[in-house]
Amino acid sequence: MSEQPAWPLPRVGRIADFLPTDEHRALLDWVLASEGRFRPAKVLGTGPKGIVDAETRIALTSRDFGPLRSLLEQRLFGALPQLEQATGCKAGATSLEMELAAHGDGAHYKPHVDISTGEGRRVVGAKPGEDRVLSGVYYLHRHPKQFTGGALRLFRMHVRPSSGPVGREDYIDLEPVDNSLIAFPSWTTHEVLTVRCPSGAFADYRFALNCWFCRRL
Amino acid sequence: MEQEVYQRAVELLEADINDEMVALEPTKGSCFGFNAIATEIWRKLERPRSFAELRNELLSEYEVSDEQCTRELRELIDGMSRAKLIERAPA
Repeated sequence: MSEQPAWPLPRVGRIADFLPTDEHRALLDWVLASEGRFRPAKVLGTGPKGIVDAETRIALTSRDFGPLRSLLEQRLFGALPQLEQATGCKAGATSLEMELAAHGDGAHYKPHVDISTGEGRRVVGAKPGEDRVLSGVYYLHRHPKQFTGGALRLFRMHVRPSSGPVGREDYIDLEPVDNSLIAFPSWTTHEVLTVRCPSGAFADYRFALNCWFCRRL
Repeated sequence: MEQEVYQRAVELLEADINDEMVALEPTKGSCFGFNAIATEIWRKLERPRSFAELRNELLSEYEVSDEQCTRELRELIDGMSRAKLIERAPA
């Protein structure tokens, strides 16, 4: 055991063609019809409800999945054993938190982790007392694709980009492939690279279903 | 001394990397890398175990001398204790 080994890159779970065609279509239709339900994304702040901080994150989010919620929960929980195996992260999840995110031109999310750490940390799981253990991102967008960028950058364990420059060997970039699901330990530092969407039309955005498998620590 | 019982002192968020493990202690925000043996000890300490119990199990699993096993396990236990990952269980 050591506190300063050669820290590894995180293991990533990836499932291509995650949803059947009709379900992928239904979710995309729901998102495209839901523009009015999206609000500016918040980030973890000192308060209980989070804050809008455009320096850190620009995106629109919604937690309204309409009639698709239970189906999506079922699909995601069904994939959990495969994701645990792939990531080496035994989530032991008892609940699931989900969010829809829409990334238009200029959208990004600076390096962060999905849990609160340090003294006085605040657990942020789906249910009181639970915390996020395994994070997932399911990507979807219209075809032909009308945006560029928006890759998910996962940093080597223990690397803190805020503390200084990082080398190319210190991260991996994962492209947002339509109908694919990616998972990684929630405490992995990660970033959403800036999206370019010249049309500015909501329908052309990069969409994602962000999810967190949670349990009481 | 061999009858000292150890237990986990913290809850870690864990990720296996082959037979090794990387973990985060969320309250302090500290990251730890466990080699294969440290990972095995951490797994065994899912329930409290005595030093002697741990050593005897390792001796049955690995081709190592009693002396080397005792010395290296002691170093490991001491290191994990200093890092406040494990602690002596109340008698």
